[in-house]
This record gives sequence, structure tokens and C-alpha cells, in this order.
Amino acid sequence: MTRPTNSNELTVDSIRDCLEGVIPAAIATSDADGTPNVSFLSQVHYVDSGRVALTYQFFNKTRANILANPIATVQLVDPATAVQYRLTLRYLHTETSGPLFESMKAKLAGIASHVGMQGVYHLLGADLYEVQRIEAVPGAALPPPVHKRGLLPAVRRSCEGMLACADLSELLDRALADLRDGFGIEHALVLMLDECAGRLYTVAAMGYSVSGVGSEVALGDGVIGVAARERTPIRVTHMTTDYAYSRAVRAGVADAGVDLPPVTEIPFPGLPEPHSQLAVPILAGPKLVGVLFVESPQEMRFCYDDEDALATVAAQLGAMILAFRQPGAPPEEQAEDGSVPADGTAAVIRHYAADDSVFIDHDYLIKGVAGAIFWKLARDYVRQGRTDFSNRELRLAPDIRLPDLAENLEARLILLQRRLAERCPFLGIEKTGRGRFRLIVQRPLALEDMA
Amino acid sequence: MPQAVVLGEALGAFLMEGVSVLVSSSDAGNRPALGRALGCRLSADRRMVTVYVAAVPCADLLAAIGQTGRIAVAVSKPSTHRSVQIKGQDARLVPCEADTADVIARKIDAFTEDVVGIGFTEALVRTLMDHDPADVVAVAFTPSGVFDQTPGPNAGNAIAP
Repeated sequence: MTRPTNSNELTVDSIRDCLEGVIPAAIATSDADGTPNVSFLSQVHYVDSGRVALTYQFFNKTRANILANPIATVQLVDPATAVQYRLTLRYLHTETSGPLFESMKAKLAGIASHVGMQGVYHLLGADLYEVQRIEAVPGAALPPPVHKRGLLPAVRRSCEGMLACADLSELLDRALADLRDGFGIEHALVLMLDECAGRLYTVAAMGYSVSGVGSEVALGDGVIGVAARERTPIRVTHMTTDYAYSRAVRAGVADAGVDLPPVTEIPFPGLPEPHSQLAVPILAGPKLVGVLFVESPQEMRFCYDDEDALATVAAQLGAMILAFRQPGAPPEEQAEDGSVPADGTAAVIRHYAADDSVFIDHDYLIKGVAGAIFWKLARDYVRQGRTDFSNRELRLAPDIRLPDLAENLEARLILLQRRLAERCPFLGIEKTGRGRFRLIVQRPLALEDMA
Repeated sequence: MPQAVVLGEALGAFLMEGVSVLVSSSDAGNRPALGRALGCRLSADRRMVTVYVAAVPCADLLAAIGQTGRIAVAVSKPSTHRSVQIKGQDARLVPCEADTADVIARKIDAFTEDVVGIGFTEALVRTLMDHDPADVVAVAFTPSGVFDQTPGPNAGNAIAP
């Protein structure tokens, strides 16, 4: 097989497969006197069809040269076909923070651990270059790989599937199911942003032995937290401990006599040793609302095209979440209460005002806004016998500290509903209409407020 | 003109055994050029390095060498990351020796063995190194400096030859 020699049409888009760091690239530079220098590059990062970024890790000869003479030649190898490309680059500037820097840093961490250079490779900056020319080096080539799955058809099906969803809960489950059916992704999470707490909480999960609904990730923590903080996709193509989630350690707290709420951490469900991870921010209009996260035990599972595909799915998810946030219809007459009368021994519902954490018979249920919602529902049930509620009254309730009207109340209800379904067989939340729901109670409740 | 250096035995051995060879130069306008070499050798007196490249895929590199004689050669062993760079200022085309094809074949075998050991397929490496024997040219130069190129903070530092 002979490759085409007319390469006038090549852009960076044409050679993205060479930019995954599978085969190290080479760079030639020249100092002001013309002395050439050649060295290896661990990462040539795709920026757009006309620009790439290289990692600045040490102040070495390459670095000194490009500051003195901004023209560089880079040679890349396609890891599937062995086709080589030669790029003429012109150095533009260096970024030391922000989305580009963070996405390169995460990817470099994976590459470094893959090649045994963890602790050696360390990103100081992202050097941005304009690509002036791309030339396919004449030579032999292997046939390009056959792709079993088309990403574009999968994206289309996923977006169409989401449009058919009636509410947020269905939307989240549908989005995850389509990742499995259309993209062959086995492990995925949707997390929503709690703006006040600066944390993300899991509302939907697929492919884990424990769902992890309600588990939290801090902004900046792991690929999910960095993707949220920087509002940019973060993708790691190899196993690395640099982006493992820090799990809160709560050692040595003797509860005897100390009025601290007990441990309220739901374990993060992620794979113990993910070899590929991709976190994509979900934006609703200009605001971050959450993160779509996928992972795999397989190396190099997610490439640039997967990142683009999932970013498109996340964009549709964000638009739908925004649409579902529009206020629902006003509450109608109290619907027929179909719940079974509460019976048996009373379940003890304990609430800690400090963080709105809720325990049912000493087992942790939920905290934060979802905890405050549950506490209001439980109180209204015990004091007034109410079981039917509307989203609107929750928004107006003074004891539920919603950050603002844009706050995703629906996501909190889904979180609460799913935690109850997992943890508490005698309590449940059932939707009764748009913006309305019912609290199902099958045992008497005894309330203990630990304010 | 910098002092010519004689490569030590250890470096000479690495040059023969190190498996990936990249060559760069810069033209009269100081624009860098780059190409992959098929092999290299060190003269018996260890004062001259010869690299073999395919002329068609390395046309820009050979043009730059023809203009300026400047050369930088990086020799590395991918499985260990060990890498050195040898520079010179008198690079020129020389006739290929009778055993050039053997030198190249041994280098490609060694390269293949090394990178297949770290997970690449033999087909990929052999395709990457595929060339027309009639297209091979030899570029010889006298080393004027040797530099550490192993990834890390010391990359680029001059080392004892």
C-alpha cells in the first residue's frame, strides 16, 4: 500500500491519531547560530486544525532554541499505519494554567506512568504552536484499522434518545444506556454540581457493583473535579495514580461525648484501576451543571474522537437539563393518596442541622440540600400527615437552602429518590406529575432533630 | 570551530547497540530539518560517525546538510529511554560501504526487538523502517559535542564523550 504524496490538504485534524503519545515524536530546533538540536517529545497535543501544543517540562536545549528561533520541525508516527508526518511549527506562546494546561497535564500523567516516567515528567507549561505545514513522509504504510463502531451514528442516536425523555430521571438513565448501547462504554457516571459546597454529587451510575449515587467529588479532585473546575474535557489514556480520587480519611475521631455528626461519606464507585478515563463538563447555557464521566479497564479506550463525541452528548444533556428546569405547572388539587398506611415499629429519622445529614435507624442516608428536603418532607408527614408535595413549595421553603433559583432541585430529588430506593425499603418518592411527587411511607416515623 | 572529539568505548558501543536514530540539521536560513536514520556506524578510530538515511523521505534534511554541514544525531534505546545526542559541523555525503545493507539490517533487527519488547507490533516497526535499498545514502561527520538526551532535567547537558 502506498500513501498519497500530495499532502497539501493535511491539517492537524487529519493526523489526530498520531497525537495520542503512543509513539514518541521527535522535534528538531535550531539555535540563533544555526546549531541544530533533536530530541524526543512525550506529547504533541491537538489544539485545533491549525495548532498543536507541546509539553514544556524542563528548561532544556529545545526550549532555549524555540525562544531564540521559533521555527521547529516535528516528526510523528501514526501508531496504526506507521505513516510518518513532518510538521513545520512556529512557537506562539506558553500557557501555565487553564483548560489546555490541565488537559495536557492529565494526559501527560497517564503517559508518564505508562512509560515508567512517573515523577520525571512534570508539566511546567503548554507551549502553543501554529502549524505551518504538514507533510506525509513518503514510505510504506499498513492498512488503516477498521472501526467497528461509528461515533457519529452513536452521537445521533444518543441525542435523539434524549429528546424523547419526559423528565430528568429518565434523561440521565437514557443517556447512560445509550453510552453502553451506542458507544460500547461499560462504566459511566453523571455527577451534578453543588455550587455552594464546591462539590459534585453522583446522580446516575452505570456498570458498578455499588451505584455510588450520592457520592461526592470535590472541584479539582481527579479527572472529574479538574474537568469541572476547568470546564474542559479531561482524558487520561493510561493508568495513573496522579488522578486517583482522594478519599476523605476520618481517623481518630472518638464520637463518645463529642457532638459531631457520624461519618456521612458514600464511597465513590469508580473502577479500582481505570486504564482510561474521560470526564466531560456538562454546561447548561454558560453555567456548569455537572460532569459526564466514563472509564475503562482498557488502555487507550478513549481517543480524541471519543472526547468530541461525548462532549456533544454532554452538550445535549446540558440543553435538556436546562429545559427541564423551567418551572412546572402550578400544583393541582391534592391527588388521590394511594399510599399504604404506615404500620409496624417506628423508624428513627435523625437529622443533624450542621450539614443537613439524615440517618434512618442509624444508617446514613443523605446530606446537604437533599437531606434538608427529606427532613422537610418527613416533618410535614409526621406533623400534618401530608404525602403530596410540589417542587415549587420546596423552592420557596425557608429551611431548604437552595443557592438560587437556577439550582437543580430536580437533581436533588432524583438523588434522594435513588438513595431511598437503595437504602430504605419502607420509604420512597414517586412522581405524580410534572413538578409534583408523593412521599411513600410504610412504617411510622419518629423524628430526632440534632440541631 | 569546536574541537573534534573521540567517542569513548562505552558511547561507541551504545551507538552501535542503541537502536533508534534521528538526524537533524538546519539550512542556511536556520530552519531545522529532521529525518529518521536507518542505521549508523562509528569508524574504527572512533573519530567519525556515519548515518544512513533514505534520500527521498529525507530530502529536506539532506538539502540542509548540503547547505550548512550542520548535524545533530539522537541515538536512543526506547525500552530504557537512554538517549544521547552527537553534534557535528562537517557533515557531508559519502559513498556507502559494501556492507551498508548489513549494518542497516542489524540495526532494524535490534530496533524491532527492542520496541516489540515494549508492546509494539513487528509489522509496525518493519513498516516504519521499510526503505528502498537503492535510495540509501551515507552522511559522515566528525563529532564536536556529545549531550545527554535521556528524558529528565539533565537532558541537553554536555557529557563526556
